[in-house]
Amino acid sequence: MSSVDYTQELSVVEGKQALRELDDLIAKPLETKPDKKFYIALSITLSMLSLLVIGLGLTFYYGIGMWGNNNPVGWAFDIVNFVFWVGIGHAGTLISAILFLFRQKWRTGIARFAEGMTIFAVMTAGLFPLIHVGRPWLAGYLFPYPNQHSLWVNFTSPLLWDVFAVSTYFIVSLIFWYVGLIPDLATLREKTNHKLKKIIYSIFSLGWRFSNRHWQNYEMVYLILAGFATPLVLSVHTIVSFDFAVSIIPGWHTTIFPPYFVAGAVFSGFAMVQNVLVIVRKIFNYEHIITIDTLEKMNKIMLLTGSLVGYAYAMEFFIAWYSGVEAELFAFLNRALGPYAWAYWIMIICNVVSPQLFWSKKIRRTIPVMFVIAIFVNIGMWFERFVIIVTSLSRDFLPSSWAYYTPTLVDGMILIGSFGFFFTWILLFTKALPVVSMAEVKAVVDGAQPSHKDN
Amino acid sequence: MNNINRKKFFGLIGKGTLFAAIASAVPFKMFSSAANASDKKNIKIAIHPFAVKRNNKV
Amino acid sequence: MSDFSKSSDKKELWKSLNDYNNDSEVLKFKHDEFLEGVTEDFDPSKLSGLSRRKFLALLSASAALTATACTDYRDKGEIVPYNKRPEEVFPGVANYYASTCNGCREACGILIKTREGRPIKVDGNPEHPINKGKICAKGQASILNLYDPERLREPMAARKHVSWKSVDEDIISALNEAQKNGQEIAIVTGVVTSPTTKKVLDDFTKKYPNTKIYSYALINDQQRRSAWLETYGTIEYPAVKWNEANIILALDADFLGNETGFVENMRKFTERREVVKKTDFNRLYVAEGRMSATGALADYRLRVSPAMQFEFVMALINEFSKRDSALPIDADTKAKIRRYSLAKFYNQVGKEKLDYLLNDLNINRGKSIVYAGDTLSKEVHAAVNLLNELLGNAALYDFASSYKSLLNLSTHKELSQLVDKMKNEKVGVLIHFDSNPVYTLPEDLGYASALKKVKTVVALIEAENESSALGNYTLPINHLFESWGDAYARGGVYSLQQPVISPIFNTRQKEAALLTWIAGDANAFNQELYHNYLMNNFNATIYTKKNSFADAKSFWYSALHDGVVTFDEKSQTTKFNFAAVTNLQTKGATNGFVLHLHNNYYIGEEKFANNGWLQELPHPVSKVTWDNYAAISQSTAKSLGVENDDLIEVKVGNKKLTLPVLVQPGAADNFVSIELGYGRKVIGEVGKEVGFNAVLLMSMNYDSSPYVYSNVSVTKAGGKHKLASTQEHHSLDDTFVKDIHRTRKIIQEGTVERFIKEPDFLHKGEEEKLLGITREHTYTGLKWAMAIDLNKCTSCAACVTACNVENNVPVVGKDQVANGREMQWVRLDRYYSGTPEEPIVSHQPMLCQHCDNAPCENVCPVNATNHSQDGLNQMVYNRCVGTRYCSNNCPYKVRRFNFFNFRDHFADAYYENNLTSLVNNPEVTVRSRGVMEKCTFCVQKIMEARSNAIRDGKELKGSDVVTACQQACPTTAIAFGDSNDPGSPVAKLRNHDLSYHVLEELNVKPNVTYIAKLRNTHSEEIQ
Repeated sequence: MSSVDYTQELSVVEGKQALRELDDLIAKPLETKPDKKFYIALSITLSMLSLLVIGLGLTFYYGIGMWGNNNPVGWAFDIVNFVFWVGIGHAGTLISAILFLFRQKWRTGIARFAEGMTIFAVMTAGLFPLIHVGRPWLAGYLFPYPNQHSLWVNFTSPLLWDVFAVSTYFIVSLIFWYVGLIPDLATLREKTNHKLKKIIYSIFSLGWRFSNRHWQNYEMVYLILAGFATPLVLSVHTIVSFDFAVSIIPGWHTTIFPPYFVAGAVFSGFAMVQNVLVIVRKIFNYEHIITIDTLEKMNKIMLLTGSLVGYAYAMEFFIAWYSGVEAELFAFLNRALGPYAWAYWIMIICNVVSPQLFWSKKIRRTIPVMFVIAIFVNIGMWFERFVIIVTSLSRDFLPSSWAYYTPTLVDGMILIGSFGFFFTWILLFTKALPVVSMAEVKAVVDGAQPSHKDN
Repeated sequence: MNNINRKKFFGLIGKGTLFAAIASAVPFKMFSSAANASDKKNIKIAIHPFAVKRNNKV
Repeated sequence: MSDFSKSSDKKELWKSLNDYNNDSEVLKFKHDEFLEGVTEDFDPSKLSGLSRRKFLALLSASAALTATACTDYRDKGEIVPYNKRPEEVFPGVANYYASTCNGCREACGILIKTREGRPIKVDGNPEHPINKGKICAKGQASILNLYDPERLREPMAARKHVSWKSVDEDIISALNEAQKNGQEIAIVTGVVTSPTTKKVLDDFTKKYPNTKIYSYALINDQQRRSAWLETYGTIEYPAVKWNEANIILALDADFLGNETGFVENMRKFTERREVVKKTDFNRLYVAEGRMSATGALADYRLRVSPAMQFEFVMALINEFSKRDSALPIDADTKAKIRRYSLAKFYNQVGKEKLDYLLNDLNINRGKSIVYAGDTLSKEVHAAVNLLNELLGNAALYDFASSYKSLLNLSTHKELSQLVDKMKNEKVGVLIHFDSNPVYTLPEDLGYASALKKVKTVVALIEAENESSALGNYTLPINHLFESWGDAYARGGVYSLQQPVISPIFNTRQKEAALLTWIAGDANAFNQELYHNYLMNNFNATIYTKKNSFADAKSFWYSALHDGVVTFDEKSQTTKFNFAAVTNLQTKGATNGFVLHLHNNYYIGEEKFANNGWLQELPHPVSKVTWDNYAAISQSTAKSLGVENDDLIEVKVGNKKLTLPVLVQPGAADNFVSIELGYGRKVIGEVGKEVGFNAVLLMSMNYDSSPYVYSNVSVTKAGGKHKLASTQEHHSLDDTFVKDIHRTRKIIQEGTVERFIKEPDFLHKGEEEKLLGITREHTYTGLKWAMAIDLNKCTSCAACVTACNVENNVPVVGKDQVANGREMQWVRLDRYYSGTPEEPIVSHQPMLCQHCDNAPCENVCPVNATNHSQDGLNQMVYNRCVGTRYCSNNCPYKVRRFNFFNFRDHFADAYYENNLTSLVNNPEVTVRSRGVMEKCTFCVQKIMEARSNAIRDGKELKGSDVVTACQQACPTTAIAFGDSNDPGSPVAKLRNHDLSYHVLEELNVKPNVTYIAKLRNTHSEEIQ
């Protein structure tokens, strides 16, 4: 019963808006002073951020003992948060890079924002490896610095692969994002009359003159960077999953982790992006740029990756049983029936059950429902990492070393604070830089690409 | 009319810093040495004069 | 010369015509040194005063000063070598001194290891014939008491510091006054094992004839001694030749856990549990109400509550008298014991076990032993003596090594009389001579309130306690390591105590204080007062007895060197007095609960409650730290409606105590057992309010034993008290987690019968060796490995404590243990299988396995842990950043992370003070916060042995190194050495039929081999 005409390509941007109007619309938040709502939002995120600062301060002063980590659960909220935030970053790169390579024009409305979210998510994630170490002032040891002892870092350790993978990811994403910003910064440079802004935009737009040569080079660089970034979507979270897959703990030591984690990352990333975009498009009136169609397509991706994740859950159980390894089967039964069963079932309901609602087209296109489902997905994905990390460690090989992990107040402060950190950056981003890519959107507005057919 | 130009100003700052760094070295060393770190009463350990030792660990 | 100012002279040199003509301008020009305008800006006042010379001077001076400023905040000061080295001290080389432990009344011989004058480790004295180089966990940890920051340092009167002189004068006058007024002078002390101390007390009594000495200990063997007096005419009961016993029946006797002589008992007992030498295994039957450490080792465990033990023994005697008419029981007694029947026990114990027991005891007459515990009544002991006598087991009594009694323990009557006298102000001076009767005596005696009526109360103690808090004078005494002394606790063995360190604080030897008061003059005191007294006594008694060729002085020095003097003791032949047992009876158990109060394992009666290492040792069976509890059986807990941590109220008459529950598999039903020694109120920060004081439940009016009470009521009290345990408690009914240690082959066991039939049963039918996918690293040369014989491990935790002391392992406190952050490098895991009523208990010491294929080594991102060429898994503390990946990946979870700096920024930096930091072993790094640590196979000892070998030009052999745990283990369950040397004990154990590795299938190639425990039951399967 759909009223969608499948014979024609959906217009990415609804309505035939004039290009100049698009520029104005997108640049509007940058030119207006922040209003009361912004300050309220910012104060909320800043207070959450202050929780992070206090939590980290206490941790640095007293030690990791301020957290709930213990023997045997050496990793808990710290690494759960790390994987969670790295996972969220993947959506952005997928949208920017992979969808670009697949020539999915509908990405243009959301690519800039998503990529920005990736960068902020990776920054948030990058906090955790630095602060979770027992001696953070020696975190430099994780990097191969030159020394006289012929001392290298341990390249067989997945944590070290993380160091390279995440830093590569951050750098490439940053460069990719920045390159995409150049034409927009130039546009802003032309638009603005404010003296300081003009100087800043001039510097950062690197002298963009909108010339043909510039555009040609830009397109090529963008394509190459998209090509660079694409494998990172798969590799980074694969490397992160190796933190667990390479170990010998039952529940961790399984080859399904790389694809399972990547699917999960895309899943949670899209959920977070969708959540934020729903808010952004309403506040800034971008409803015709970030259309329902775009959101629907994102929901479809969530449905796909959610199903993959659900399949992976079932497969893990099956293989644990089929393998005949008692410790492995116990690890999984323990998740579902042991002391952390509450976490496990939250995870199942949020990750497996809720995205299945997206089979319904009506739900896919209803904003409040999809918003709630995406929140559930994020909760579920956080709990998935919690279940994997904490339950597997809490009950591993020797029953004499089993122990229950309980998070402390400081753990909670750091978790909430990380959200505060992330959202503060996003809020600042919305006021400092265009959240939608002006150049790309203008390129896909109806009539933007003149061709013979139009006549 | 204290006409102090930039060069002289920074020169003065630099000299001051240098002086402060050097001057604080000696009292700093005094205050931070391990003997002072303990709370004034140092525990005196002395082997008991009449203890008869055996050194071959059986 | 010509004057150039003259303008008319002819010139020789000129530059221009104007010059030649002496133009005024030119002259002016020549007059000025510089051209016009050049010097306009030149202002001498503006010139920098810094000349080049000054600049160079300043430069070099500041460089010199900067060099002195090169301080690192981590600078610990300078190490200055000796100019004149004291003869005793080689920096870096340890000295060893022989002495005697005073932690309990066993008086084991010890060797104190000192470095640069500081004692840092205590081990057993190998010369001592009783403990033979081994001591218990308390002895190992006793070193921390020397460095207890809350030790008393100065004498105090009325809570104020005073001088010894004024105290001496006050007390001497008080003593004289009491003597004059006919008041009693009471000295309350614990068990006296030192003959010289006894002599001092005797001399004191001679000087002040009104003196009466009272001896009392919370945990004592008075019941046993009374029974022996009646049945054999001597209070000095013999040692038991455990190694000659084929069958052992222990009745509520924790002879391997914490009772009289347990260090020696463990060694002798395990001589009959050797799998390597394939000896005749003994068989241990334990009949007890609670689950003791000995009960956990039993081959057969019988649930008999202590209130029923008398009936049980009498029923056994009855059975034997029925079966064998040749037994020397007269008809009269036979008739009286008829009424005791074993049928009463069929329900709780099971007929099959009882049949086995009777049969075994019968077959092994004269080669078995029945042994009752210290807490049981005199009647039970007498009955047990009778049973042993009837079975001919008296052959196993070793009277040559009997347990001496130098000073009789005071009876309850005597103590009541003392309290009466105190109340009536008939006691002038009361001296607490290293004792704490306010805490240890039952409350209904009224001692504490009577104390108020005594004019002068003096306490001679090491640390403030409940008794000294109620006194006038609190006088600090020397710690053991600062003390002279001797001990005569066992027949034929006289051991000496010598100080290794001069008294650190203003303390005195307690005997020296008495000697000063005997002399009646404060100036009589000098530091060597007791030293000389001891020497004189030694010469008078031991030297003369030994009749040695050497002169007195040399003999004395050699005795101090050895620490012990042995002599032949005439063992008295004793005959059993049958008359004593004709009328034995006790009150039978009635309704209600039975309460059993017994000794704790690690904190002793008084001395060790403030010792963090000992408080943090997990209980051998329940694995609870920092607390005691009420242990009840699972069905009892269900009927009360309580679980672990719930509070219950235990009521004995009008006395009650509220404390948490621990559900103990294997405990008897309707039965509560509580450990004594906890709940201290006046003690240092560490021990304060730890646990619950069960002495409050003790009474002067007891049925048969002051430790066993019937008609006890137990009710749920509501509320919880969290017990910090190092292991999770799972009910044995929980099938989800049941027996995982067996299915995962963590614990592999067998029975003696099976082993005799099929020696290779353990590994029979196992598949091929595991394949690795990487090229295996080959180890030629020395390769360190360890083997632990689970047949011998009794879970006494001497190894854990020795490791703590040797490796500077921090104490973390109850809250951290509750959160699983205890720092002990080696731990004793305890697993239950079977049923909640009849559990089978398995122990396993677990430490770093130093895996060849270590999973921890691969995953450390900074290479802080790697493998050495001699097979050690090394931990590099200064490189560790603390990501904890290694701990996550360790399947044995033996790695310990420093979540806090457990000395600073933690618990008010209690352990970060001048005194306590002296306990650290200088050979081992003290780890900072955020660093991972674990067992290193005592790499510091390996390095020391290696450097000694290099110095001596020899090869380092595996036998050169003894790890701390190996050295401490009283049963030599731990073997350590070179696995590449086929002749070494470790290599032999690795190849034993019963050897296995934990989690072998992971292919991590651990280097700690376990020898499977064999249980000596009448079957091939473990039941």
